[in-house]
Amino acid sequence: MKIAIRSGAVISAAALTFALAACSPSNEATTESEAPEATATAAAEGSETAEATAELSGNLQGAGASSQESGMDAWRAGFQNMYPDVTVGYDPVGSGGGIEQFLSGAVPFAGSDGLLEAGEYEQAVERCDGDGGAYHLPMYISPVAIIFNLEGVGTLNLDAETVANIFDGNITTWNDEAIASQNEGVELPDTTITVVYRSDSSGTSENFTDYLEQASDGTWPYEATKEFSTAADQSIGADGTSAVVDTVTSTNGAIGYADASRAGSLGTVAIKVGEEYVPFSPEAAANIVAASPLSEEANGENDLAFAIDRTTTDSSAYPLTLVSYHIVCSQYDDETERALVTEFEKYVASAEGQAAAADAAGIAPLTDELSAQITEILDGIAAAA
Amino acid sequence: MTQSTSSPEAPAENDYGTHPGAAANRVFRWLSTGAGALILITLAAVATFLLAEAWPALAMSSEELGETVSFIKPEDGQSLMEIIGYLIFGTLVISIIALLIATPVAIGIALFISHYAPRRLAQGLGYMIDLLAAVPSVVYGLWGVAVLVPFLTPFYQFLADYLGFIPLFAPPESGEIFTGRVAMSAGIVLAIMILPIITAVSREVFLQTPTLHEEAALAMGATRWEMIKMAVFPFGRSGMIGATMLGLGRALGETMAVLMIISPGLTFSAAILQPNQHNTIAAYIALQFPEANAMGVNSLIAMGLALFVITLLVNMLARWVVSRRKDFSGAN
Amino acid sequence: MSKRIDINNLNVYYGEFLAVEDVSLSIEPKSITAFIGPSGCGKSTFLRTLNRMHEVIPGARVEGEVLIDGVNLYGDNVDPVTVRRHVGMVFQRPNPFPTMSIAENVLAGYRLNNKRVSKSQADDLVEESLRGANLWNEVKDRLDRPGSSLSGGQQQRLCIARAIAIKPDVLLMDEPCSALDPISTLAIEDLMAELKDQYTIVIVTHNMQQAARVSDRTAFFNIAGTGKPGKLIEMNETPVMFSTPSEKATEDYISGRFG
Ligand SMILES: Nc1ncnc2c1ncn2[C@@H]1O[C@H](COP(=O)(O)OP(=O)(O)O)[C@@H](O)[C@H]1O
Ligand SMILES: [Mg+2]
Repeated sequence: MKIAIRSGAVISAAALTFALAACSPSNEATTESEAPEATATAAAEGSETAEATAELSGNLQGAGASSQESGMDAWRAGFQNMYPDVTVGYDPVGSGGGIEQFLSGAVPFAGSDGLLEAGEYEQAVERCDGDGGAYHLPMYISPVAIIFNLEGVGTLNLDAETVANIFDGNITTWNDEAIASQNEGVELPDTTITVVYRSDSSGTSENFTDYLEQASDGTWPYEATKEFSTAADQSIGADGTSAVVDTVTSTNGAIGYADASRAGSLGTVAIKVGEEYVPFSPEAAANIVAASPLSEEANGENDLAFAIDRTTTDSSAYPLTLVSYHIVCSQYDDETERALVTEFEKYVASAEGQAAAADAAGIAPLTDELSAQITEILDGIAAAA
Repeated sequence: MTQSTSSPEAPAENDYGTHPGAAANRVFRWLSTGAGALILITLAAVATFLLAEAWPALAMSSEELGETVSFIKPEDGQSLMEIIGYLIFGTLVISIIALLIATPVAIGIALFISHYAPRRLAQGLGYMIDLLAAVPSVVYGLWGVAVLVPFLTPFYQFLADYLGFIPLFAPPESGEIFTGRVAMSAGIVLAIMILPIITAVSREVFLQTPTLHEEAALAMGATRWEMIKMAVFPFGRSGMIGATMLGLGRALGETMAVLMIISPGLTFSAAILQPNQHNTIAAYIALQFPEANAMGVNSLIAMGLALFVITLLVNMLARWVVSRRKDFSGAN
Repeated sequence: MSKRIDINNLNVYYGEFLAVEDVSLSIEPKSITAFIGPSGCGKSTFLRTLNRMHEVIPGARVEGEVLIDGVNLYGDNVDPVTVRRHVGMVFQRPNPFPTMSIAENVLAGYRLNNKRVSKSQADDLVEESLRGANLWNEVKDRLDRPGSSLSGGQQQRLCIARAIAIKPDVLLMDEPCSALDPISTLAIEDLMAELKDQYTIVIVTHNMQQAARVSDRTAFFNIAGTGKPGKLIEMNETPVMFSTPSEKATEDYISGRFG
């Protein structure tokens, strides 16, 4: 099965190379015999890394977390611009679907909001060539904003306990003492709080509940999970980020959580880290990843599966941050596939790639150190054993 | 003729042996038999697929499944079976709301078109109804969330204020209807979605009422409404049930509109004006599918199997209702 | 109960099409009047104007007068629904309601006027009407079976029972035997002879023997050709019509040289 899929991929890649060469828009020659040569020249002119460009062609297909979709659009555009003979596709089926496709060998890399589970790690060893298994690469770091709709209030300071109490329905009005005491000078109305949450299974919920569980000192009674649950009487579940933002926007007194790039003009919460209140920012989000240890289940030091330290007291970090990964194999026996994956991921991790996604999707660019570390790992990904 | 006598093994040729249409007739018989068999095979294939894919989840112990699949929490009273129970309940609640609203309205419209409206108007109305049927459910969902839900919320408050003592219309604890994203709204939007199909089929059935029976009633001095009760409804009874079942089928399986409108929950609550109480099987699957791991997908398929079974049961029930008074049906 | 009918200068239209032109005639109470004539000459059309069933067809209308005991059916303040409760009708093809039992069929019209009917009242009426239609003995053991379980002739008599259950003033019958076998036809002809003691009966038939057998008076309708309106040619005592008609067309038709 595995073999069949592999060879199929190679054949399609080869076929695509030819097809792309034959109809490349930069191809000025009109006769067929001249076409390949002309393409090579045109492509070489288009990029500084002429050597690599000449070699790299084919089709790279990934699948996974829909949260990465707009970032992925930017990366695909940027990468295809560098390598006109390459097409990149990404199917935003969701983390679960992406991992499943990756493990079955249908795609060479997956996007995922969550980490592989123990059993999936084992399957990855089987799926990937060699015995190295799979690696997580934290490519898509994005702060999650706590958003609210309260007339005349733009930001609020809240510690994790208060956030937990609000989201579990223990604090039900905006002028509650627990909120007021952290926001002196802010005029708080007695509006009832409406909790708005993701009704679908989502990485955003998982990161948010993980933050609440870790940081709220036991105030949040549930475990970290993709399925948000709450005891709040006045709560509304909405399907997807857009619906959450829309519901908060249209409901006076509502509070919710969403990818920070979507906060728009809604009020946002600065969460308490150490002794300070930290608003979300790309830098603070990147810092929390850099400052976190690797997960205990990580597949060696090259597997950058972070256990985000939500309890940090480092006020330069914003612990309510979503890390979405690209999951790749530690070894690809097929050279074309290896080159496509590693070159693409190197571009994604590069300052250029991160900036592109920051523009398009509002992600927090990787710190330079992390970016360099990822590049090194990618360089280490071997072809045949 | 000489040939037939010379080779005795071949069947004797005579003037009554065959005719030019025989081959075509045989081909058609095989084609139609094949088509009929295809339906059975497809149904069996779907059932087998569902069962085979659901089996790993059904066979696994509840605790183990809870550890593997993020949305299954036996410790919180949400084992796979319990979730399926809640979802069947929610699916039925929402579909029944939809049917209760849609059926009378649809039959009213169908009757108006078939027996009351002037021909021009009837035609226009017919087109419009067909048009409604072609609107994709996402559009209904968007419209429901953006327009209908805010519009209905004050009305729900009114219901809750005056009829809140009935469990069906009980408001949330605070007494305030703070959101219209409730089962009632989902039911109403579904009602609008299934209205066209019920209307179209009923209209067709009503138009086929034999003139003979209509005139029999009228000639006895029946008013138009009495004639409809006497001749049209009894004749169209099984057709109307069929139409309703088609509508129910669509309501049971509808995903997008419910997904976009309802604030879902898992309970056996009757309170259709409270959020976080109900969800449908189809919408639940859509909510969980993208992030589900392999066993999660198996579990979701088990829910799909439940939906499949409900749909079958509903259809069998409908058939039974139709056949119960077969002797008296208008079909003879 | 029975009433006389006077028709004055009646024109009957389907939309713009004039189907029956300028008919004037009188129908005596407690008599049987037969309408005969070739197919398409407007007998049914004309008959249906006598209980305002004609206007049930979209676009159909009537000019002129139909007086029942002097009251114009087409005058103001006349509700067609009420008219039909007084002028009953039996159709060419038997049409009992298939979803109703035999007893319910008989009661169907009666219930329209009397919302609450006691069980014994209903039983009495069913028996009386079915006896009146000479059907009682054949169906008394299966009154709760569907009306459609009867034979054609029985169904037609059931329809007659249904019509007389509401005790109409006039009974209109449009070729009531044309779908029936000879024995059933005889049964219905006998029935008509009995019913005329109580009702004014108008029957359309294309069976001349039947007209001769059952009717007191006969009216002959004819058309000049397709697309032309049907007209009343002549009307007289039945024996006179069949022996010495005054019109040539009547004689041709009756002697079988026409139609
Ligand atoms: N529903 C109708 N719409 C239009 N024309 C009709 C309709 N019914 C009958 N006609 C026409 O009226 C004329 C008389 O028909 P009808 O009364 O049925 O004749 P008869 O009963 O004497 O055979 C015919 O020309 C027929 O085509
Ligand atoms: Mg006729």
